[in-house]
Amino acid sequence: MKSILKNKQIVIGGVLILLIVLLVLLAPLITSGDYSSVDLPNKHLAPGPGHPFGTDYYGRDVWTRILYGGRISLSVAVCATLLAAVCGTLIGSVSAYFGGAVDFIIGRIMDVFMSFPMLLSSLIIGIILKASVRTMFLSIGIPCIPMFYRMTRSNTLSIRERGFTKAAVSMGSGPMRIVLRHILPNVLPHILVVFSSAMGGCILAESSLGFLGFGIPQPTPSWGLVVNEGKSFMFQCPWTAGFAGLFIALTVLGFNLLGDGIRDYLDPKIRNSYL
Amino acid sequence: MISYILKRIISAVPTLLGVFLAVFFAVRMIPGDPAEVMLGANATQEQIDIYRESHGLNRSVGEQLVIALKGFATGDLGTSVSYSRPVSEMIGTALPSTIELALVGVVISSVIAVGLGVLAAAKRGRWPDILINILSTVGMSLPTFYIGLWVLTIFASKLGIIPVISNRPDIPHYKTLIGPVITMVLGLTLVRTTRSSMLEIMEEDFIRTAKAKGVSRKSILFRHALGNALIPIITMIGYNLASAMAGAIVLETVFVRNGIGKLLIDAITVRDYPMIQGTALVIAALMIAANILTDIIVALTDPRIRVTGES
Repeated sequence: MKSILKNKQIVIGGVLILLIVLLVLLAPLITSGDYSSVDLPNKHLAPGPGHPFGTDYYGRDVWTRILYGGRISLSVAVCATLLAAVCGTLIGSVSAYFGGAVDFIIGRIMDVFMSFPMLLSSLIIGIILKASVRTMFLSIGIPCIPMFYRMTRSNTLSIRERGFTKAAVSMGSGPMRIVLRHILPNVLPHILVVFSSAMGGCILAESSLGFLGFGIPQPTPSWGLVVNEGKSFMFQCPWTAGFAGLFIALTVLGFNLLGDGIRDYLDPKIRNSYL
Repeated sequence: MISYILKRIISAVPTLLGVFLAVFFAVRMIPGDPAEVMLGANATQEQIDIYRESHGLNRSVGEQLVIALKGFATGDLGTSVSYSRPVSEMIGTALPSTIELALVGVVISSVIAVGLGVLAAAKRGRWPDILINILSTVGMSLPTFYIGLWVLTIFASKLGIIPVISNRPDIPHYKTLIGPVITMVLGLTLVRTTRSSMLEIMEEDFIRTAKAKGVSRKSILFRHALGNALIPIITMIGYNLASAMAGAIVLETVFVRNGIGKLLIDAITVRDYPMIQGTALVIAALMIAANILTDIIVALTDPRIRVTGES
């Protein structure tokens, strides 16, 4: 535990994420709680007392909208990453464990998946499922499945050849037991690394979809929506999109640092980063 | 070498076919009747019937697939609903500017990022290294659209150097590249790959030998170390080139620049399904092509990969 805390990336990343999660959870206590009522006389106020991040085109408090938006964006990202992690790990371990035709067919399907930029897959799935708060995690999560698949598959392949797995097979353990008891626990740390960077990726994806205008629709505020609403007024009052983007960037930075930190921690050979 | 290149190209054919099938079925999974969906809400029953007949929608899915495959193989991607022009023709017009942006952006950002990466590795542990590390970590966490919005605000609105909207005919062509390229450079994606790859090579015996022989520091850094650290760097440049196709979707929207990404976004906005289908196919095909190109360049740079690839 002590050595984990010595890793600056894990500490800085962890603290960043913790701070943002705390702010988002405490939103009802530290904001007015009113993220949707229109107040036209006070539109486009610059940041100042009462409105720390200013107000948007409809006179809504940007600080409140960003914190409440964080609830939606973070929950969507968590659900999407969990979905991708569960599916990707399952498919990856099955593919590697059984090998042969199963592995070949799954591999080709994943090749096709990976030939689409993730943003494009998200856009297309979004059209099919009609983007909403409930379906957004699918549009963002499904394109992330190959990330977990690839990592699980390559790690399973090497673990399958290790002594303890062979010993378990020779003692008569079935495939289910081998995968669940011997392979997955050994892949888990690597899953954590991918999970952390996938969380960052999902937050980026949600905000990019929002920016393009295909994110979670009105009236629920999400970071993507706040950026989208602010982008048209970027020149006159950059604070709406500016602060929303800052929150997105800080959260992604937190998850990237955490992921890098865990990776370095697991593999001391590459502990050469100074951040 | 030629057999390796051929093999690599042939191995992409099933993937391309898979991409085609994925797009074909994805478009058919969109809720609603395909004819109504393709023609929009204002279509009359007669138009819908004609469309069904001419596009073979009253036939079985299998037959439809064969028709679509034939079209795909001959470069016929259907007709855009919103422009009433062949999709392949419109993509053909938009594609050069996207490829231009991807190539210019990737080349310029790679040169700068590799330079910074080498500098960081050379000054390992000292302030330039720490500064470059912080900048690249932050750069990689910034969403592309966010960097783009600030570049636009600062360079177009405040300084007036670049156009706010790039697809007007009166704007000199080179100016439309400046904003997106600055955005790509600020992403700083290649710095860390270069740095870690360099540091790994710098530990090797031949670097120590070169130092002992009195080879100049510059020659050690650029010829001995960078030369041998190239493989991961080239792989990463290839990855960046492939993701520049996705980046184009965002960059062309931010800077309102014509290209295949903007074509796709406009098509989704007006639900122009033949166009969505065509642009999605071409973007995926470009990504596959970029990956093949990377593999070939890596094989040309590193004979070991070529040999194992052939055996």
